[in-house]
Amino acid sequence: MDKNVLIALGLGAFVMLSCEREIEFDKKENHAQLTTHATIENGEAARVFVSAVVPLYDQYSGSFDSPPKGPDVQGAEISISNGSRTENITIEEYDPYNSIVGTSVWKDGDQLSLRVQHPDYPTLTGTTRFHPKPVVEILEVGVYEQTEYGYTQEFHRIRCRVSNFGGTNQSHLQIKLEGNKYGYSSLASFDPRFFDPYGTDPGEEPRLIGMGRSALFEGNPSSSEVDFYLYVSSQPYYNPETSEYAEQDTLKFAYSFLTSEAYRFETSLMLQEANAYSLFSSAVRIPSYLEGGIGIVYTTNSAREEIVADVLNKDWRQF
Amino acid sequence: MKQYLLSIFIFFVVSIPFGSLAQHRISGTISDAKTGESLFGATVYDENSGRGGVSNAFGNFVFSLDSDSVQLRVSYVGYQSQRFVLPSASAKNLQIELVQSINLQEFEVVGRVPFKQEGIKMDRKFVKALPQFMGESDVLKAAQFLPGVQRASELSAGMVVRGGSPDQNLILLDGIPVYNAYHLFGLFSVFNPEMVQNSYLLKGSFPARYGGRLSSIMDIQTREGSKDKFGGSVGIGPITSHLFLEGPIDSLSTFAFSGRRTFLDVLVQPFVYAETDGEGAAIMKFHDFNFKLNRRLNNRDRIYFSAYFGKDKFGGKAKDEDVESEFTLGWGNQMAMLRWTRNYEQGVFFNLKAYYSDYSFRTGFEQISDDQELSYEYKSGIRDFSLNGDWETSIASNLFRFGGKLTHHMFSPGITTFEATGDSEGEGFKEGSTLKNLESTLFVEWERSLGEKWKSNLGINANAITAQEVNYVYADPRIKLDYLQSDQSTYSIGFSQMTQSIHLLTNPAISMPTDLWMPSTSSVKPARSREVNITYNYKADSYNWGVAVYHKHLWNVIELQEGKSVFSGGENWEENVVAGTGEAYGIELSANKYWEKFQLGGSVVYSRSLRRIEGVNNDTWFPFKYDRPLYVNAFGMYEIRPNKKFSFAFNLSSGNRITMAEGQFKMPGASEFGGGSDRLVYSDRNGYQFPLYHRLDVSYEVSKAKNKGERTWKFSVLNVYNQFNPMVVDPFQDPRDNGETVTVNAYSVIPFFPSFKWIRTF
Repeated sequence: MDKNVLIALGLGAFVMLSCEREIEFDKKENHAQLTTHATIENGEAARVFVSAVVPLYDQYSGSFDSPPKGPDVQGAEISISNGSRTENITIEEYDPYNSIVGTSVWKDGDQLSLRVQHPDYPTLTGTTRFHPKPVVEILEVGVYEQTEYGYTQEFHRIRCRVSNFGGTNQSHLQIKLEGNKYGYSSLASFDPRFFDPYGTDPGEEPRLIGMGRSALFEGNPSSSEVDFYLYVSSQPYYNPETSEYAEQDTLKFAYSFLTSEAYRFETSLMLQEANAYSLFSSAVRIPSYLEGGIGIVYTTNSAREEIVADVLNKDWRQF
Repeated sequence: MKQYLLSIFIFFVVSIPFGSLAQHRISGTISDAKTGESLFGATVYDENSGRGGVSNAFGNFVFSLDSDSVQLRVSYVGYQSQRFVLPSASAKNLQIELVQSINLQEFEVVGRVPFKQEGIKMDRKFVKALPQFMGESDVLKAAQFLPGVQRASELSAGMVVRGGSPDQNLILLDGIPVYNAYHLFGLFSVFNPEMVQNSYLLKGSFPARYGGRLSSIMDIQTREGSKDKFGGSVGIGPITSHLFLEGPIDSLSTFAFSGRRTFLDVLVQPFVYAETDGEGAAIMKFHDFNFKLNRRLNNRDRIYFSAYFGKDKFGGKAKDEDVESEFTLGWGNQMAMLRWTRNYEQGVFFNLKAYYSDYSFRTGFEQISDDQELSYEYKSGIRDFSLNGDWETSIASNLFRFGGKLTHHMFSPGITTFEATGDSEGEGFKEGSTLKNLESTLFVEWERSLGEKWKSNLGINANAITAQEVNYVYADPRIKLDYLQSDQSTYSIGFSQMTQSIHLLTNPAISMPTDLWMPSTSSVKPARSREVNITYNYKADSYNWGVAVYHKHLWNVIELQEGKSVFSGGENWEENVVAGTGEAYGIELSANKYWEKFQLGGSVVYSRSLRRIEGVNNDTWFPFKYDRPLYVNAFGMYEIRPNKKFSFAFNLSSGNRITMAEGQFKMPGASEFGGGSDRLVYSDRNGYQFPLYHRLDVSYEVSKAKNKGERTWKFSVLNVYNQFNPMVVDPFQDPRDNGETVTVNAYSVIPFFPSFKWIRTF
């Protein structure tokens, strides 16, 4: 082979090989910490999820035969107290998917403190208290049709008024779809206060943002009215128990205020996931509102509303 | 502080009439004897009194004298000095022509250091001598070899000056602001090196005539065209080719024209054609054109017209059965300026200019089928109309500059248009709106020699910004004091307060042409900075060295919230922005040594740049993404023979900053908030740095005289020893945790990279 060709090939290989390499960094911090996500609904027991910071991407590797093991938080002790009464829970077995639900019921007026202890980690502590329950008035329930690029979609539109929303206490609003039996539902909104981790402009109409069954609205609003939408199938609901199509379903909504800390924590969780592989945005750090580790404890005091949906007749009524 | 500075300024202004009133104003214009082009930064001084001045961008100078005769010495780098002895009364509107020097040592021989143009001058020869990326000399990349200036990223021509961000640099082309000065996503600047006459960089101690940005002013002047003869050059390289023409139109007018175009599209096309079986085509092109016309109306009046037009366009076309589709992404600048300058007999210089500057970015697609035609377009940009007037004169050994500027900014922050015909008729829409604001600036600058040893430059740049619902008014003081210890050594101290009324919304990770220029509003205030620096320079016949220390405080600097990008938010962009403060400080050492055929220069800089932004990094201080504490440059130029030149450039610096994941944890699966999946624990913002960066580039140039002009081959090799300098982490490859260490996949972008350019002058 011609010498020049060989040189050219050698140079080419040299160039190609130089573009990507592995770089190793010494870790700056040791994050041997407990993590906790604890929520307490007024009149209900606490739901506490305890885990720990583990090395990157190796602890959940498992197979069908040997399921992921997860961090070793077995034996961690959770303690919830309102000063006069204390509930202690011990984690017998780590469940990577579900929170532990306590047995004690906590009510409005309580100032609650949380403590999580494990011999291998620093103790994690935090406090919270209940906030006022929102007063919700459903203003309008109906069907909204959106046609875009030749396709028509139907939304169940709910317009409601929430008193004290975003008042001087800077509360944020959370709306959860707690129960509907059939079909797929996803909350969305055009309200600019509506939190969208994907950065879609909520002010542009009409646009639907699939958000799962929870919606967060930032506080300090200019209006106490909140518009949100429920994406519904244009087909009747399928009832898997009877293998038939149902014409009606009941939708249960819970409205509660969140503190700025709870709002920031939950939105950070969503933002980090939404931007996990983004080339453009910066890394999203999850803030911590607990001493000694990462996590949060907060309460909700929900107002509940039910709506009956008759999909065949496009009739949506407040129950 | 503000009142105190104002009091000092007023005291000095009031004291002027009590100073010795000069009887004579010495004024004139300095130009190249052969081409007639104005010489910017030439030194003129009276050897008897030590008084003097520096020519401005139009070659004009003025200073005052008491004595009846003057012994003028005029000098300029690369030109033979001249001496004149003449009566002061007749030293008005002098037309001085300097002859280019054949001496290779092209440094100033004048010892009067205070009479020196503010800032660091980079002439064409310096820019052209440095090793080039893909054969293209680049004024902005050359600037990255000046102390205190860093590259924004490995490939980019973007500059980071004394801890600022690239958008805090005001880049002026013949006095017109350029809002996106880059081709090919930042690989090259838009300034054709053939067209550039001079460029000055100010990185601190800003005279009051400059404003509008926080960190630096890059003032680039284009060539006026030779009055001597018609000439020019053509050049061919692997990426770009150029044509440059200049010459006289008549005895009073000259012109200069340059055009550049890439042939990437032509080179890539066969591969795309083969890959797509002839159904696809790539769009990869950029071009730019410069034109300048100048006409001398008489010895006192001149008019200039200059225009720039440049565009980048990338994308692809495809044809699939009956559907033709095209995707494009492009950006470009359009600028035009008309200027009138007048030298009054009384020694007053007047400059009036009106300009238009437009930057726009567009992306979109078109789809054409038998049934319908669809087209979608997203565009953003900024458009300025401006009227400026300024005066320069000397009164009683004081030099005054004063003037005003009125600029109308129009911002287009993301306008979306969808048009449809055929089956989708009627579904079209247009969203987005334009924003406007008005910026008025007044400045007064007062330069005074205090004996033979001291020189002061005091001034105020006052800004009034009319945003949508709010007015901002600022008065920024500027102070500079020079002390000439001896003919060789100079001390100076400077203080500048700066205001930047427009903001560049840029993605935290990668700067792109999609970045949006946005106005100040009621919630997003103008960005401000306050900079103080102390400088020492020593200049001998064959070498010079200097040291500078600086501190800069910034406030109202903005950043996008964590997890947001410029594509988020639309008209609600303000909600995605958070503001904070910044601190930058550093020490810069630089030196140059000249031998008969060899020039060696370099700098060592230690600097820090920190930010504290609300809602970022738990509201604590963190290193700015361009914080590279160590930055070392070295360059050399060796003339092997008169027609053979070798040069090298070496850079060593701290690595790029990154934010790293250090661990992960799980949220409950039952969480309504996307739980059940892992969340990452990140380090502090920009808490990690890539390994030390270093790169050596070399260049060799050989010329041969031809019947008319000469032919030059330029060969460059970048990254001679193929150092792997990581620039970004692959976001799609998860990091590997080794316990005490973390391994990531990273990319570098400049491997061993040879290139060439062929140039023929005529």
